[in-house]
Amino acid sequence: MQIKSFRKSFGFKVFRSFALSILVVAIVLSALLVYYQNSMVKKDLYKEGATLADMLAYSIRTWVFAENKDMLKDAVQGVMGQKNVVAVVVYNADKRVLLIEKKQSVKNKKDPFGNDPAAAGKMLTEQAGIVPKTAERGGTIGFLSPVVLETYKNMEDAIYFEESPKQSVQHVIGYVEVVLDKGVLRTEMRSILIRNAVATLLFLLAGSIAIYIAVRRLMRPLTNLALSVQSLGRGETVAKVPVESMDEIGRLAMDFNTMSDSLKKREAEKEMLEEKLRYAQKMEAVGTLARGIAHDFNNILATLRGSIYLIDKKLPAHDELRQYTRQVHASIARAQNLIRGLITFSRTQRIHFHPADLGGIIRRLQPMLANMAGEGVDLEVSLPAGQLMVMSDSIQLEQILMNLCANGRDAMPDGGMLSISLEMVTIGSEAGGQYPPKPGRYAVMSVSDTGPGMDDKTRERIFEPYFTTKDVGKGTGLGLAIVYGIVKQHNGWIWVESEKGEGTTFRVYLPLLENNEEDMEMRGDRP
Amino acid sequence: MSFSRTGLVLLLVLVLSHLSSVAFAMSEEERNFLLMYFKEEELQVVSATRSLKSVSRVAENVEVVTKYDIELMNAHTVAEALYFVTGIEVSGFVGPGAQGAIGIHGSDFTRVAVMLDGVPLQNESNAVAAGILPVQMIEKIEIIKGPASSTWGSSFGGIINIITKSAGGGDHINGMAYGSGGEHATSDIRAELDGRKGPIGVYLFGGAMNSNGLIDRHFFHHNNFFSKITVDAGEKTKIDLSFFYHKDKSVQWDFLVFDYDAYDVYINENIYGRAALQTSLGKDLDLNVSAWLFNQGGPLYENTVSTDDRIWDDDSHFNKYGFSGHLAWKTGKHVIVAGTDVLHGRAEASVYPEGAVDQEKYAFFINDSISLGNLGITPGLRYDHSNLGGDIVSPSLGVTYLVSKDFLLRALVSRGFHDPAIPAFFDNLAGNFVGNPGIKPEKVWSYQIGAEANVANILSTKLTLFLHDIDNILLQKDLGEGLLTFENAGKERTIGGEIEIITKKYRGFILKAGAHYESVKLDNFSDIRLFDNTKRYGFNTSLSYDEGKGLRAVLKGHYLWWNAPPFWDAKYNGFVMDFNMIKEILKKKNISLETFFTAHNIFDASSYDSNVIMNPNRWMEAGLRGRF
Amino acid sequence: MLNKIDSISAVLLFLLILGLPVFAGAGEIVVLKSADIQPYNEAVEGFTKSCRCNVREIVLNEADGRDILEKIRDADPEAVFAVGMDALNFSKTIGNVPVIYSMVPQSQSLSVAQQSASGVSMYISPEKFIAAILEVFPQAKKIGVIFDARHSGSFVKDADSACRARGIELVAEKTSRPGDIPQLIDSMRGRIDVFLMVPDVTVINPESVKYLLLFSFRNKVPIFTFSRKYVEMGSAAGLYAAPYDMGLQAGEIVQTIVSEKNGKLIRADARKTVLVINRKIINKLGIRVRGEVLGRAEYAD
Repeated sequence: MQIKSFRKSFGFKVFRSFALSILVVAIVLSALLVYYQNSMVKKDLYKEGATLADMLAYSIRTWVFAENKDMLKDAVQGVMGQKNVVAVVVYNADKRVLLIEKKQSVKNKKDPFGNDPAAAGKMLTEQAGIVPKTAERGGTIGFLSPVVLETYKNMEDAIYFEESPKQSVQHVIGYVEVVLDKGVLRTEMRSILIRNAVATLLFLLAGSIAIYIAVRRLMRPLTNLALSVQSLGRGETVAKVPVESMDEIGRLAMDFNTMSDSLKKREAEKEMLEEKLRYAQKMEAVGTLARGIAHDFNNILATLRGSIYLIDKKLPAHDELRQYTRQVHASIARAQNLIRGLITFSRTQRIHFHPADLGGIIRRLQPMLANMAGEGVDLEVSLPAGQLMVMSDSIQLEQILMNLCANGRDAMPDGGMLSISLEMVTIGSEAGGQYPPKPGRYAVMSVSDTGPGMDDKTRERIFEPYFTTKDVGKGTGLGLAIVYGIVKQHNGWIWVESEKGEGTTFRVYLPLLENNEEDMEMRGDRP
Repeated sequence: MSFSRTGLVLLLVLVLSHLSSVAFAMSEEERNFLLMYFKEEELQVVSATRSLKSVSRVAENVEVVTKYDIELMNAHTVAEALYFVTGIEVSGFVGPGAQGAIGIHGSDFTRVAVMLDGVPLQNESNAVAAGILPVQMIEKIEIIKGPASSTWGSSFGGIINIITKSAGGGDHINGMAYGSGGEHATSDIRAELDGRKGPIGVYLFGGAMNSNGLIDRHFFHHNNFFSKITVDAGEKTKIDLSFFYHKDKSVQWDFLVFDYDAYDVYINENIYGRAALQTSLGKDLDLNVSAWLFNQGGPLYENTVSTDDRIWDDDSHFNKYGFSGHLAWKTGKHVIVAGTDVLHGRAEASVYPEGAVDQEKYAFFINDSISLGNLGITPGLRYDHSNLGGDIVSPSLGVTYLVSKDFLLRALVSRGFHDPAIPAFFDNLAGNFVGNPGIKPEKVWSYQIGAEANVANILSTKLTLFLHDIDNILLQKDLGEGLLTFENAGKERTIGGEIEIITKKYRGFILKAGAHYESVKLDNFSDIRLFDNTKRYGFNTSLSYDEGKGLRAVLKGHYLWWNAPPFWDAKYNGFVMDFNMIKEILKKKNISLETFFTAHNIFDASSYDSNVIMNPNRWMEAGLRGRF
Repeated sequence: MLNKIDSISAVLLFLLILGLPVFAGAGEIVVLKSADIQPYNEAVEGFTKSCRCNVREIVLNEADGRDILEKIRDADPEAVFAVGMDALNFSKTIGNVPVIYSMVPQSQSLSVAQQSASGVSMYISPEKFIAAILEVFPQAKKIGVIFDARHSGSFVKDADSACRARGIELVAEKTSRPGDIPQLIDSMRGRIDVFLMVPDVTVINPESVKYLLLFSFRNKVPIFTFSRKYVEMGSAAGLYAAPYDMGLQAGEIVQTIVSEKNGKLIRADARKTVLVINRKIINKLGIRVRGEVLGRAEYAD
């Protein structure tokens, strides 16, 4: 799609005209090169043939004279090994053939000497008078060179006139014909063509790429802007369009950025609301899961407990094994406690709602909480003068308090201040932002510590079951989850405020009891 | 004694050593002399195989793997060197460094004797891990297929006799260094020195092998040291002192195949010493005596893979020492060899009563080689006594007949036996096993006929047919309540044959091919091998190239139709092909350097009889060898 | 029980075989060849034909030197027939067995004479050469020869006296360096009628032979040589001994030595020689050879 759009673009037109001119230049250049190289190759081949024939004629004169085929064959091997040589023919002085050597591969393919295999490429026949130097036939070129032996006129001369200049006579004792394959010319030609074609192609390719890149660079700001507008139209997130210049294109980009920023802001608000909803749903799902597990687990534990009890009973009083049954027993008890906590979190226990004064509950629990806070941690409680009545299971409310206080204490191992306060707030219909209960009047119980506080990540997960920042073995990770469950059962809301280094405050919102009937109705809805 | 028993085997044997030898290089002087008279073509070696026609006078089915062959195939261990020999069935071989159990013609590895210069290497269970024996110090390996008890004692399926190099062969000091590296971090480093000063020759070899395992789950490292000192004490007496030390550690996760959460660690330490004296007491009378010791063993333990907890460990040792001596007397057409073997072994392991048991063996033997022109007769007789298993007499009679200079016939009838493994005599209640002190050796009557021929001077061929009637086979017996014992109850008949063909050298190429077949039939199949009847066959091929021009190469192929019962989970789907190429890159007067490249199991074929221990997949290695 | 019967029968069988009367088989002779090459195999063929004995062939192999010695000793042969120089050298180490050699130069056979070896050396006496030259080229008055005194000193000395006895001249040039040979050949131009090639490793090499042939063709001086190989190459004629015949001769020597057993040594030169002629060369050089001689000769052309 991008390519398609590119082909329609202005940039493509620029690109096309450049590429075409490169093509023309390359083709003309390579045609010239091919022509030049080809003529060079041909010249070389002729030179090679003549040289080979001359050299061979000189080196084999002894064996031509002796007419020894074995030695000739050996002597010719070197030349036969040359790439282009397809055959060598050796003649004696009477132009009779002494030796014909052909290359194996040529024999198999086709005879290099055309239609007359009997002639076997012989440039010389016994009758022929003229001795040609070269001959082109079909696919081959033959090069002929005479074999010359210098002999001394006669022995007597040599004996009597030793000091006289040597009187030697040149005898032609035979001929050598070296046959070269013209096919080499063709293959050379082909490889020259291929080489040139490849070079041209590479040149074209490289040139096109370079032009393409240049054109793209020129067109990029426009393309970017167009793409951004498209994706904005599809409702996708759009990054800021880079403003690369202050020309018309640059200004267009700036305007576009302003527009998309304001769109983005609105989107963010929407997302935050959705996030809150998801969190609530997640906690709900976790609760359901825990409930299922807890129920089965409770049954298993009951069986275990019964069995271990029976074993214990059957063991003699001072049996050593008793210590183990006791350990098992204790472990089961611990497990049941845990399960109970889980069940609470997941609301499978029936809750007994009564109207109760929240301040009274806190007051009643104060000594115990002070004790629990331990040394180094001061407990400060501030309560309103009047009663704040809520529909509640007071035991569960006590649990909330104890868990929150324990949490606060654990956050301050080096001591600090733990404050509990209670107040009444009215939430109007206009309120928003924080997790909002329904509009109405609420009793708000706050538990604050002066501990190290927590970061956002921890705060987001703090009510999940089994989430703990405490050392392994110290906390079950269930405390705050239980608190969360109880608060939800009371139609309330819990909120935590914390900053790193600023301490932590838990606020529990419980609806104030306005009139009894309304509350009874509500309890009927939710078992 | 084992030394010149080697000599005896040589006299008896030597068929194929020539087949595998290089084209002979004439001295420069002789060649120059001949070149004045004859053409180069006339001096081409006619055939490296021609000598076959003259030497074979052996009734047994014998094959020789020389140091040249070992170098050409780049074998690292004895198991690898034997892997491609026709008739040999190597099980439990996962490449160099793994156990590598050598079976011959259907006889499993506990029934094959492996000797190092005549010293038996078997452990208390009659097993030898040929895959941990290095090859560098080996001159040649002689393989006798079929029982040879009348000479060698307990040897049921055959004899693997490893003969080490002699010390101080040359006049000056020669050395060799070898290094190779391959896949899975497999490496082999060796160094060798050989020299002579006056009457004393010294040979030294040290090496180390390592691998992360050529199949997964098999890590190992080995250290080897071998030395030999030869003293020429006068014209007619020679003393050899050899020492061999080997230590290996291997870790194997084989049982993961069965989801068994465990790996095994073996640490094995071998110490070998041998002193031999060879002397001539008269013109036709030679005496050979040797004393030796061989200690082997070490800890073995098993840990879980998941938690690395020790599940089991054991520390077992088998230490033995012995004495051998024999006289060889040449008189007329007879060569008579008579001698004795004495052995004391002590097996130590926690399973034995009092932690250890002793094995006492002695034997007397006599054999004769009679050559009557084209006819050769070799009768042999041996008496063996063991404190475990009792007495046994093994006779044998071999006949060879040279029909023509290119055709030899041979026949052999022999009685063979095989000592039961020592643990079979004793209780091992941890393993639900009740020892049976009354068990006797397994026995065989073996009949072999064979022929060797030169065909048209193009190739030579060797054919052997055999029949082994085996009696007193030890079978497991269920005593009830999950207890087992052994008793001599089984009978087995193995019929088979093998054929080998080797061409004469042509342009440096030699082609070898071999095939073997055996049919095993058990009368009572409650055997631990759990088959009552199996037919097995195998093929081996080898194409080697060496024209003496600095380039050597070999392509070897091995196929074995294991025909194993289905629940062994065997797999044998193709030829295991190995290729090795050696190229000389430097040759000066006193120094040479060559490089080599080996591809093992090129086509990734599987060839194993049990999926617990699978043969390695394709792996490559390359290295350098220098000599001075 | 079974075991006992087995044992007794085995012992009986063994004793029976051990006591077998050893009838007199034909004596066995080990043939030790330097290499498995055609000329040696021809010699062995001739040997086998005339010695009428059992022959066990062993090819010498450097790598297995010890094994071969062991093999030979175990074979306990009546004699060892050493074919080739290396084989003869090796056979010194065997001891106690008569050694008969063949296919070795005379110089080597002389040097190991003390080592009690008999045999046939690859040697044809100079008299035979000179006689043959005069048969083929009756007009020859001057015979040229180039030699290294270390190898062919005595041959040339004998050749010289053979020439003198016939009233012709031997033009001999001494050298010890192969590099001097072309120059020496050139120096013979016009001084000789025939050139005699002698089997001398200093003189004979592919380059010198080629040069010599060129010299022969240019100056129309025929070459008389000592092997069929060089006649084929372009020498006019030659005299040689065939390996088969030398083997035959060695076989007879073995028979004598084994039957007489008196420790006497028999060392001989090649008895039978073959005259070989290249008719093509003779024609080109314009030489006429008598029909009677041509009729007796082998042709190599």
